[in-house]
Amino acid sequence: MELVCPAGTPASLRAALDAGADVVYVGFRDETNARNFPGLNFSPEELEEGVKKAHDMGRQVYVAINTYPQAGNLDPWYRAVDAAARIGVDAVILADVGLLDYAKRHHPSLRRHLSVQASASNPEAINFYRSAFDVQRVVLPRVLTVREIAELITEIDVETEVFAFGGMCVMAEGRCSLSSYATGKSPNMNGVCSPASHVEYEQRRGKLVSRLGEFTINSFPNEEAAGYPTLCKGRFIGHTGDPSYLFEEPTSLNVMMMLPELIQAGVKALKIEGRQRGKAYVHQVVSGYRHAIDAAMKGEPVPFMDMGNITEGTRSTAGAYEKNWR
Amino acid sequence: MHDKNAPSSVPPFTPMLFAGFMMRPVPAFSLNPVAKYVLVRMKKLYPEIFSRLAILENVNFLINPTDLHYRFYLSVKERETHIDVLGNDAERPEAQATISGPMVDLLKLMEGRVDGDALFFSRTLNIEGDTEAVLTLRNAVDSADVRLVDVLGGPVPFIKPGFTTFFSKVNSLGESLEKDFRTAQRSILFPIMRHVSEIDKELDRSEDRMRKIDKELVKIKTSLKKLQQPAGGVR
Repeated sequence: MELVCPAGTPASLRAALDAGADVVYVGFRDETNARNFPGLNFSPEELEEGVKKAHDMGRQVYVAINTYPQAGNLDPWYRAVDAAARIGVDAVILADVGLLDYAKRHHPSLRRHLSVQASASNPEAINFYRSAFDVQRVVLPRVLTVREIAELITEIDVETEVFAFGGMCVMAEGRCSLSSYATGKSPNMNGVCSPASHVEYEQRRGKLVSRLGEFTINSFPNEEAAGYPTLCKGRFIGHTGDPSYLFEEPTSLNVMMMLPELIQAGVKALKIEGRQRGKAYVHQVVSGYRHAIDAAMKGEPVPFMDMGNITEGTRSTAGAYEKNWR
Repeated sequence: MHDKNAPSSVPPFTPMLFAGFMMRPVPAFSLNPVAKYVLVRMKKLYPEIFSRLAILENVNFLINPTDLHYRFYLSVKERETHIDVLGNDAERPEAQATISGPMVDLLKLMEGRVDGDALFFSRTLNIEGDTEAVLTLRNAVDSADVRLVDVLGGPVPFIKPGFTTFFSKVNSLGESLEKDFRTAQRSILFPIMRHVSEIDKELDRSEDRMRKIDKELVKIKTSLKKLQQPAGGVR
């Protein structure tokens, strides 16, 4: 079982490697990746240094180039794939079919993984990506139960990577337009959900009020833990008249206690979300999961580790992995 | 509108709060050389922070340690970063973004020992104003492995070993004091904060009632207007 960990900066990359990451995934400092936040990500030179350090330690680096290129402006995406190949990264994580085709034709030996942004969740879709673009691995959307993942694995000839920890998205990955609706910018096209330029916080009588564009998203009372300013985690007034979470509550994914089942299902890699988080988060989550995976692989019980302090809303869930409805 | 009387403006009960009381006679301007020295050292030791900050155009940050009597005014202008220390009683300078939190947490954030989002989720850290600028600053600082001991240690190599030991002792003393203060805070301040929170709830309820009364008033006015219209009206 491979542990794939996030890094938004060179310091986070070092923290992930020190904490026991098998692989660190990163993005370039532009709109070609789904965490295009100000002051975050890697220049080609920084990536080159990071790859060297990882390879010296016998580890790997993947590069996410997982937004959808804009019509008439394909160059930044092509340049990103070319730079990743030139630097010698171990895989690129792509979502767009045009970009997958470009990578396959221009850099056939560069390993290609299918991003969660492609939202491929059934054998037909995954096998198509395999036959058309020779993808080696698929990052599964966070919509499947462990049983469904196990069944899927028997029907595909591609490695699977699943999210283990971090931010939750509504179940429309790669197709969500909530951020676009409020700000004109989306994770799919611009690499940013709820761009900071459109986010505003205000302290009002002991409450933290968050706004995105023209919309008030949430109002957290003084003692309540806060969440990200995304529309999917907004608290809105519906027919009942009381504000409530209409899409999902601010909470983080954590499937640590389900590791034995995921290993049993044949999952190849576990992914930690959070390239936008600080190196303290990276170190804490990666260390925790390193211990947990090592224990689970030896057949020992997974130790309980409290991650409450770093989760969104200071709460966590196993999400769809243990859903009992269809 | 910013509510200056918000409970969040109550300073946190920390060792730094008491240190702040003792430092009260020290005027802010006399701390300026220290702050400027720290900034110069950081520019020398961690140039990557400042290259990431350079994307900001003329942004002034007000960094407000809620348990001290001082504020830090950090400005990024034409790719250069400057710092000034201001007293809390000084006129509030023009700032595009404000970051507030206990001094120890701000220092931990600077060293990357805590995650900024986690501090925000737990409501330890408050931000206001230009969120994009705050995020840029956070990401820039987190991109380097900042160690206060290296920043403060200075350029004299033979002093460094002794200073490192001293610094680590001060650090662990600070951490134990922090724990003790948290325990004391829970026992002393919790009932008061609960009372404040009840008052807040009551204010919210009053606000709701006022809103309903306003709506009723509009309805009554409309009905009155209809009644006052002459019979037969416009056809």
